[in-house]
Amino acid sequence: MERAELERELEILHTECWGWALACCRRDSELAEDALQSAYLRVLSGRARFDGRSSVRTWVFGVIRVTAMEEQRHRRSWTIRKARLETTIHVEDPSARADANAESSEQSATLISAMARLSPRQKEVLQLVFYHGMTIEDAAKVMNISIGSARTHYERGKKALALTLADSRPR
Amino acid sequence: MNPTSDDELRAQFEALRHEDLGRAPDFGDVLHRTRSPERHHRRQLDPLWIAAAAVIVLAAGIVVREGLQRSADRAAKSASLDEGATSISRWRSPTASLLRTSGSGVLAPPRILSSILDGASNAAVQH
Repeated sequence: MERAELERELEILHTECWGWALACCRRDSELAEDALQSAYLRVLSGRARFDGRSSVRTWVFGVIRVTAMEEQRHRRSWTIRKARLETTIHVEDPSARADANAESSEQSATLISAMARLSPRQKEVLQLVFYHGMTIEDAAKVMNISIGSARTHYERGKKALALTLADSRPR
Repeated sequence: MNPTSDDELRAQFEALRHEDLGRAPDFGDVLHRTRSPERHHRRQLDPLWIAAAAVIVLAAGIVVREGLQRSADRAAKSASLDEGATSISRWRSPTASLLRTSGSGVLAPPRILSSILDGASNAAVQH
């Protein structure tokens, strides 16, 4: 794929990619933008190559997922180093920052907090299936796990999420 | 309490998606955005890593130097031993000239057969 063609594809997928990056970065919009930019640059520079084994969306989502993990790791080490240099230790709680950034409706806030209780894999598979409308097979490709494993995470995650949401309903 | 159904879950995710995508930054802005300070700083090398690398290089240098020194010492020692062996084989006692017989004469076996024949020939001459 040529660079111009890739850039066009990314532009078409951009809003979807944004939603996925946000989910991968614990809904921290600043970190999500950093991760998204790094992932786009990785795709456009050819450091990540599309081999045609899946759809472009599945491949780009996989790149975003890996890049977001790296960004979070770098962010954590940078925060620790910064805190060490400033002598006063103040490690920012990303969930608190994410809450401030979210400004979401009450319903979405409930869903976000219920999702936060799930394991990372369960969160990912539910996000891909319910939010992005992917099949479990495609979700497994994005997550780089087997379909059987993805299905298990999906079933357990869905059950746990449904129960948490039912508990949080006003009686 | 009844667990939430698939349709309810789907509806909640759809609402969240609608909110998120409405706040999505522009594609061009994301691609060409100025990097956050965290990303600038993450490329800098940690002074601890630099110090650790320096210590490893220093230790390796010391080990190599010690090894070279030890092999040089071993070579010098073997050369001095060779010299000592040569000087011992050439050594002569200061009183060696006082001895009447040489060392080889003392250690040679006595000439028994020739002395018996000498005695018999002397008796025949006397008769």
